[in-house]
Amino acid sequence: MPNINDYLGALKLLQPEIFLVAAILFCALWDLFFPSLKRFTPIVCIFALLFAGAGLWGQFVIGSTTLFGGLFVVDKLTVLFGSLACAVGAIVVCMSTGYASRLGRNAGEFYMLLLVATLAVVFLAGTTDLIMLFVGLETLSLSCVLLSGALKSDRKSNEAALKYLVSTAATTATLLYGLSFLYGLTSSTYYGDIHNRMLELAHSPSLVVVFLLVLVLSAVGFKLSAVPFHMWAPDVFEGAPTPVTAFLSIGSKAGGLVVAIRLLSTALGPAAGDWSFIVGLLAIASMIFGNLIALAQPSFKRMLAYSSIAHVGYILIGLTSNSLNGLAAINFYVVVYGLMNLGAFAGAILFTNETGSDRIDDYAGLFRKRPWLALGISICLINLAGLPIPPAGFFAKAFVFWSGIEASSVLGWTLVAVALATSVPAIYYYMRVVIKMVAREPSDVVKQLGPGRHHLADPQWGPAAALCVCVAGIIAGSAAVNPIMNVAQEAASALQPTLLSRPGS
Amino acid sequence: MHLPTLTNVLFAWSPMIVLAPFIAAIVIILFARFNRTLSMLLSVGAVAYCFLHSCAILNVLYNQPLLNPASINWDWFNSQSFHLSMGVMIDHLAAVMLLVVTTISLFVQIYSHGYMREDPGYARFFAYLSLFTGSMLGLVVSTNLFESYFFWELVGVMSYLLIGFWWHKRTAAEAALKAFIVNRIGDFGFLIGILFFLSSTFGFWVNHPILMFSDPQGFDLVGAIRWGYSHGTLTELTLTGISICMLLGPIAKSAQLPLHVWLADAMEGPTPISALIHAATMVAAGVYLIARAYPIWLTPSQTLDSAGLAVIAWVGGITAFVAATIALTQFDIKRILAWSTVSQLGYMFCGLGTGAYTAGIFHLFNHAFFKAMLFLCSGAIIHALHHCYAHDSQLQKRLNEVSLSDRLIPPDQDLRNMGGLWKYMPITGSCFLVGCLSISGIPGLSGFFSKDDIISSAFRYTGGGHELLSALLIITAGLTSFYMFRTFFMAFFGQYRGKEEPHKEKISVMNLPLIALAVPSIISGYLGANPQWLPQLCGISAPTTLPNLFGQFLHWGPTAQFESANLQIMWISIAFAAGGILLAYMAYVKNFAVNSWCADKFKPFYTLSWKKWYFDEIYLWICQKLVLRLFRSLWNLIDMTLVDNCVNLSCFATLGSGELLRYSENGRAQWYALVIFGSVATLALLYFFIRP
Repeated sequence: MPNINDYLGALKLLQPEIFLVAAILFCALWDLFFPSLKRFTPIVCIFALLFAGAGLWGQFVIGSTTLFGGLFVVDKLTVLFGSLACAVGAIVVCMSTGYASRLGRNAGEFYMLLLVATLAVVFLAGTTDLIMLFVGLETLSLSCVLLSGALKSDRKSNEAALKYLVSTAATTATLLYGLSFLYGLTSSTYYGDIHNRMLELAHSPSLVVVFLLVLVLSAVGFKLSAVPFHMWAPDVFEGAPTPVTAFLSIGSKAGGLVVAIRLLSTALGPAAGDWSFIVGLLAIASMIFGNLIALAQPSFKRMLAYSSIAHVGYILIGLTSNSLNGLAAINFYVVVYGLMNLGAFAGAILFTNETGSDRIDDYAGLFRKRPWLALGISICLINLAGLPIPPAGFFAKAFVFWSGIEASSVLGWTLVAVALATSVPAIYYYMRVVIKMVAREPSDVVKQLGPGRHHLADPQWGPAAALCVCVAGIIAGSAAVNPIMNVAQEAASALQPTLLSRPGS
Repeated sequence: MHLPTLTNVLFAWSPMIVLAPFIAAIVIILFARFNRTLSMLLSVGAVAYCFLHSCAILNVLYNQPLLNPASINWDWFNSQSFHLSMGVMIDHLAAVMLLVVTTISLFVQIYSHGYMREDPGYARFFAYLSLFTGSMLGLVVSTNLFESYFFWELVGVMSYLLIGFWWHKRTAAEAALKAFIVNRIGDFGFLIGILFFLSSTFGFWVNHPILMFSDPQGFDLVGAIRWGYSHGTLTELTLTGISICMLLGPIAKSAQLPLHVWLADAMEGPTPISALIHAATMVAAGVYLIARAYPIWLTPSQTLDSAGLAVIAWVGGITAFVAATIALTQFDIKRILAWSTVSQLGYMFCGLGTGAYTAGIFHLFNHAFFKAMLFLCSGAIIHALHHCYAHDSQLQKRLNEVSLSDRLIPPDQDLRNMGGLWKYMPITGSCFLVGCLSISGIPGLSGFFSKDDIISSAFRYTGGGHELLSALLIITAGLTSFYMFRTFFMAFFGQYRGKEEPHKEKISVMNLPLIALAVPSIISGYLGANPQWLPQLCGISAPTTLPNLFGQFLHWGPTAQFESANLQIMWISIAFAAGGILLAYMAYVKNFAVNSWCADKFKPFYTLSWKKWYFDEIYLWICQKLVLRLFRSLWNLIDMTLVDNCVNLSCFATLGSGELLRYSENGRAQWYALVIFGSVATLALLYFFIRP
């Protein structure tokens, strides 16, 4: 029987999460009582997120600990994704300070929702129970819906929120349907029990198993915006406030991804042969559609949105291999990709704030007027393209592709071949922006830019700091490939016992 | 081995030798670029620290030789199959090279303070100098080929930036581009070679840092070659292929035939740069790399009779000769020195290629000092003459706008506008004389010792054609002394032929480095000499190989080898050198019409030399008529048919899907939900029926 001491011990491990909850309450109430001091909200948010992240990171050394009778587990994977979510949240808050003027009176609740979404990702990272999974996903989805609609007077933002709501409702339905099948088959909601039951069922595959896998994957694919569950992504990405887009493209994806990793490779591990094929199909479709459609986008934000679909395709390669190296490669990819993508979005906010434009053609000649901004965006884009300057992005891609090759299956080879082929248009559309910024004559919009000397009170300061942090992170990541990879491997090996017990293949 | 504390500290802090210049450069770029004095002090301070540290390391190694290199390694990336590391390795070869690089860099930076004083880009110049010094030192202390390649590219980039330092001058911008492109060709071969080597010895490096130059447990290049040979992944033929691919890198960087065309044009950069990068250090990096990764060019069983070494020897010999012939007829003082650099680098190649490892490195060592000094002398002359032409704005405008292919010689660099300069600048003149005597191989000065070792080893060369090879080098020695003294006499003797009187020189920050570098130019040769040599010189019998200080230091340990000089060959080459000086004296001081007679009688040869053997013209023709034309048609094919259609298709698909969505305008969100449900059903059914 669990006693009160277990409960208190669990609460001790949940301190970072509790701290975040306190910060959420603070954000919700502070603006109400002290409207004149509302400029402190984002600063408090950033510190809260950093403290929570640091607290989580401090738990990296402890081994796996299961809490609350199997609802939640604190292991290295939880810690990695949780602290990643906190870091992403902090950077997004930083970016939002440059955007807050457009949010009007609602800035406080905007930050609160952002914290709720971050908290949801942290919980999703450690969830080991279907109920917990469902609650976490719904919290994440609903706060993201609200965040997308944060620009209340903007029609596009409203449209984005509504579309996201309808789509998310549809996938909630499919997910619940899938989970009820799962419960019906295994009569448990705990991953460990499901795993054992699935082992018994692995010998007699049926349409029901296939169906439940597809249903669960549809929800995961929706969060990851993998093709064909991506339809919402471009519209929402375009309509939502840019910081929210940045969060959706990495924060909420990290949540979906960690759910996928944990659910698929532990609970559904015995059915790996089945789901890896379906995931492979999603990966191929995502890589092809994401890259090809991103090729023809005139808007920078939309281009990043479509390309993030393509990146999900690359990430899923690591998942299909269902090996330690594959999962480690995914972890590495998510960390590095998060930095590059957030940096690119921060650059887009800086540019749009100054020029009011988001067209790629308008970025031409930016290097002449804002050399540091152009340099920062270029580094992010070059890394997104997977070119080795500096080599963080290149390594991330190489590791994932390598894990696909190591799987030495027809599926693995096909995936890597498709990935390599679709990397070519990716290099083209990313480098097109870089070349435009550096080599072309300035566009009309850029010509009108005045001399840029920002001071600390400037709203541009927040996004600029975010961009600097991201670029510094990319450079540091390129130098410290080995330590990051070690962390990624340790996080992946938190799941290893169940991977090893996978029978039959 | 238990080292004393001070030694440990010296080795533990050796990464600072590489980092200090980089830190200085970053501080200058970020904070100090608006303060000229501060940026100069930072840059000079950093390199002075490097110099002192290198001297201390050299001293330690001299007193207490290292059997295994002292290395510090950091993992950059580590997995079971692939272990990439970066680090710092100090051994005897690296210590010698560290001394060369830091000494030259220190004096050149002090000199630059005077030379660039009035330039608006003064702080930027020092930032670049620091960056270059750091990259070059990084290349010197690299622990593995991969790291070498990294710094190799970095020095290439810095060379590009510094050649094009005066980018507003069209010739400078074009020369920088030319240097970069030619070096890219070489670096591409180098990279292919490295990757090819890595892939054929991949199994060897499991769990060990890849491509290490030296490792106490034997997981280094030699071990890899042995392993590959015994496992059949490497044969004599593939190793030769790899070594020749990799050789392209040193060939381009050290400006050897056929990739030598960039170095003369690189003289468009500021003169201190020519002295530091394009005479003493970066161009010698090619030679250094060959010495560093020497096992790759040997046979699989590590003997000297390999095809790779033969290629090095012949490339070096032919380059030495060709470059010397080109230098005979040029009038631009910096370009003459550039061609002589190419020629001397050819000697070093030939030395390494014929197995005279010590002599090749020794020549690099000596050459660095006297050639840097010669360049700094030419810079002093240019500086003194510059004011005579500076106010001719029309001329300056033309100089700025003319392209590289029909470049005109700047009048302050043109030998025809000099003459009688000894009267105005005696210090520069005497230093230049020392340099000329040294490079000509006159006994007693540094060039003599190393050059004759190389010529003798070429004569001993067993790979075939040793008479031709040594004859080429001996003739080159004669040509060298002729064109060097031609330059000296035309510049410093006779009547001044320029427009206005040059300034008289004063003791300044620009003379001191000259004098300081003149000292090693005279005496550094004695490091490679042995007193017992003297009787041998006089014809009394003595053992043919004698140990010497330099060789002993370089090859500390049981493998020490000393190259000996061949007496007959030595006398012949001295005679050739003296003949060259005499001829130059006759032609340019006594004004016998030797040169005009030659120019008339041997018109085709004269034109061949003047036009630099038409290499530029041939390359341009190949590029424009063959490569570009082929590329253009290929590009048209790919771009028009493939890429355009792909882009059109994706546009069409986007537009199409947009149309489709617009079709259900009022129900878009529902449509999304429908797609989700539809995809679930389709995927499930699809998978269920095609499941393996």
